[in-house]
Amino acid sequence: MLPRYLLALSALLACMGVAEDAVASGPRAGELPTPSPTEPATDSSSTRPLLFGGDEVVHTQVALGRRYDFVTHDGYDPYSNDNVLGQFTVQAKHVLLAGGPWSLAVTAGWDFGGSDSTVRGQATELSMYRLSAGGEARYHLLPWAFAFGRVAPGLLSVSTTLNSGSAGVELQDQAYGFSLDSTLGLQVALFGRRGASERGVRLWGVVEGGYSLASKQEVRLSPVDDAGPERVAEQRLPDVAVGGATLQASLALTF
Amino acid sequence: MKWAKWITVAMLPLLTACGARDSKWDQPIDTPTGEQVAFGLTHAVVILDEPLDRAVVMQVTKSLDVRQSSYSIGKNVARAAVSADEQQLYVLAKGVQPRRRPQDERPSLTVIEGDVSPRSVARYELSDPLGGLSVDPLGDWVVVYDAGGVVVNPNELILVNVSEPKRKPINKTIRSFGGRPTRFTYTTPLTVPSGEARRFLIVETERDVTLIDLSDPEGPEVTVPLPQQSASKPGRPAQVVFTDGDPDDPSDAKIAIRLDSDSDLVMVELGEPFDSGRAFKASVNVSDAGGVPSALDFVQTDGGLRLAALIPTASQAVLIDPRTGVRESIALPGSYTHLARVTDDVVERPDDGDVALLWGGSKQSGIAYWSLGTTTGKPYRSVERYDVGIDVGAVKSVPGASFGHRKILQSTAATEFFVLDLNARTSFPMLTEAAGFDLTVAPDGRRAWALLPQGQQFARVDLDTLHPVSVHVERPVDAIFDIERLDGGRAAVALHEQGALGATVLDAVNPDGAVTRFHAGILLGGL
Repeated sequence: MLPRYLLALSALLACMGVAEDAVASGPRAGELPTPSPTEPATDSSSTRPLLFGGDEVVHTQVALGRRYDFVTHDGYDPYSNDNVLGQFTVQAKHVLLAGGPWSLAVTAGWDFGGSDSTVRGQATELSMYRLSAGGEARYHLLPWAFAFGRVAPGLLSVSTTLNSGSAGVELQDQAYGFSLDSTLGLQVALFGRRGASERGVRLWGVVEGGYSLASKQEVRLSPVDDAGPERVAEQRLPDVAVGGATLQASLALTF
Repeated sequence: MKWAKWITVAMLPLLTACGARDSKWDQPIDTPTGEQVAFGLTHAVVILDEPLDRAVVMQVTKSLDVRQSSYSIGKNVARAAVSADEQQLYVLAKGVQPRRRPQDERPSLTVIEGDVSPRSVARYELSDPLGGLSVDPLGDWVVVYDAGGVVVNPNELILVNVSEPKRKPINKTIRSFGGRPTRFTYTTPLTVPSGEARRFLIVETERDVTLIDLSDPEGPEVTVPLPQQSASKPGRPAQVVFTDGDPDDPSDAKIAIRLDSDSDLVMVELGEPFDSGRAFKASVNVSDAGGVPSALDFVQTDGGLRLAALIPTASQAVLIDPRTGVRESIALPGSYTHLARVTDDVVERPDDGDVALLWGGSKQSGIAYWSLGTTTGKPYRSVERYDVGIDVGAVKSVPGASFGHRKILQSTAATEFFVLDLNARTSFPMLTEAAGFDLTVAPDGRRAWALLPQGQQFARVDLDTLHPVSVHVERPVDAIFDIERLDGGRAAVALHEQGALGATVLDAVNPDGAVTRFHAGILLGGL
């Protein structure tokens, strides 16, 4: 399925590229002007409201939201009755470059969440942490809205537990892996709809969706702190990869 | 509307991603009370995981780790049984009942081999959902019987030649006079007047006995009517024994039938046929044992082949000459009810006769040796009584040549069992903490295991030194199996029917509670 998503992503970016050709009036290709936050804001609505050639305000953004990964890997089945892996997500972004309707930001994110279920009557739990860093390309549609595409590789920590009825103790495992988020999104100002080049704190609503790749991790459960019977052998459950289609919504503050 | 197309493409994975998980994760761990779910094979322990329609095969490595594999066994398991050589497990499944769709699974018999490389050897699709399973001790045949349904033909049998996996099962309805099959006996090859020696399947019903020639199972069977006990009560078979007789005489193979609560003994001789197209003719003779016998067997005596019967009410045994019907009574020193030939297990054998071991269950304590031939230093046809202090309910044989001369005498009423040495005629008491121990003998015949079900202790008795070693494990044990490890050593697998089934694995030869490996969630493996 993955190539289709990437195809969709690249196609959408290509569409954006067409749009850029149609409307760009800023720097020539390859010339991204240095952002100049001290320059006065222009009234974009009166001229070309969708563009801010050279006027993008460098801003920093923090966001807090809810993320849902739709994990279709069979190894996730022991820990959830459906394919949904809910997480909280915290993100920080900082715009490095801006030119015309485009800007480029670096991003850092921390996602944490989990799910629980039972396996043939034995309680199970999966919790995960993802620390990611990447880049985000933005296309400013309006002074108070922009679309973006984000690519963020990351490190994953996946912990699994099984409450073993035969051992009488909880068996646990923790494994580390890699992830790669590729998402497209839309960010809309909810509060403080001033020109995007103006300084100040603004509240945004963000929705994004895409695909998250995750490496497959072995699950070898064993008791913690020598609890339970002596010399308990590792309990194997299927390898798990917590990747899949992803959808998230968050509130962001820019300043 | 290009953008709409791309949004649709982008949403597609989300729409398809919201599926429910495989139902296998929600299946309960179902271990029906009283039903055996674990079976020991030579190299493996097989656990029937009925909710998932699979058999989980556990093998043990040198490091006491477990290697698992699983095999489909069909839906709705009716019965399972291990072959006599403990190499194979036969699992009878009724399939989907009632079948409503063509793709609904049919009844089946699955054969799983528990060798070093376990595998599903064969899967026979059966025509009817039968519930009974009978296994040939020589490993050639399995008989499926005991039909269920709105209209039942209880005399319908399905004969499966498991030694030829490609051969189709044979449906056969035996002639009936109102009875239904209750017990099956498989003979060794018996010589018959015409043709090669052949094996017979002897089917006992409540009122007659049927002989099926296993060399021609689809041919006509022979039904042996039994004498009526009274006008309204037909004779009911209680035991069947057979002998090939003199190996040089092709016309003296015999089958003897003991009747329930009846002093009559029915003798069937496979003699010369009148019709040249037949291999034999079954001739029936009835002899009076002089009392109601409780056990029967053909024995060799210094006077030739005899049919021996124990008459506990008279504290005697009778020897009946199968040729002439002449009966000879022998007084016994007690009311012994059971008899087993142990001739091949003893070193000191009579020159021309068998040795039998007698025990009496709750009617007679102790055991007796019955020598049926002339033995130097022993009285002629002597019966020697040994009072071991318990009522012997069961005698377990020890497989293999090394310790075949040892028997385990078990009584459920006492807190002890005995290891009997047939050669030295000595018995060694083994005291236990409580009554009700399960005793099993390792397939290699070198150890016995004593387990009080649901206890956390069990013991291994070395059948060479008779040294018992008690082992304490950390979870209650429901069954213990002695299997060959993948490296050729021996492992004991103690099963704990808790949670998803756990197992404590230890070295069987040198069991040590401090050198064990605990495996949790056996039934979560392979999912």
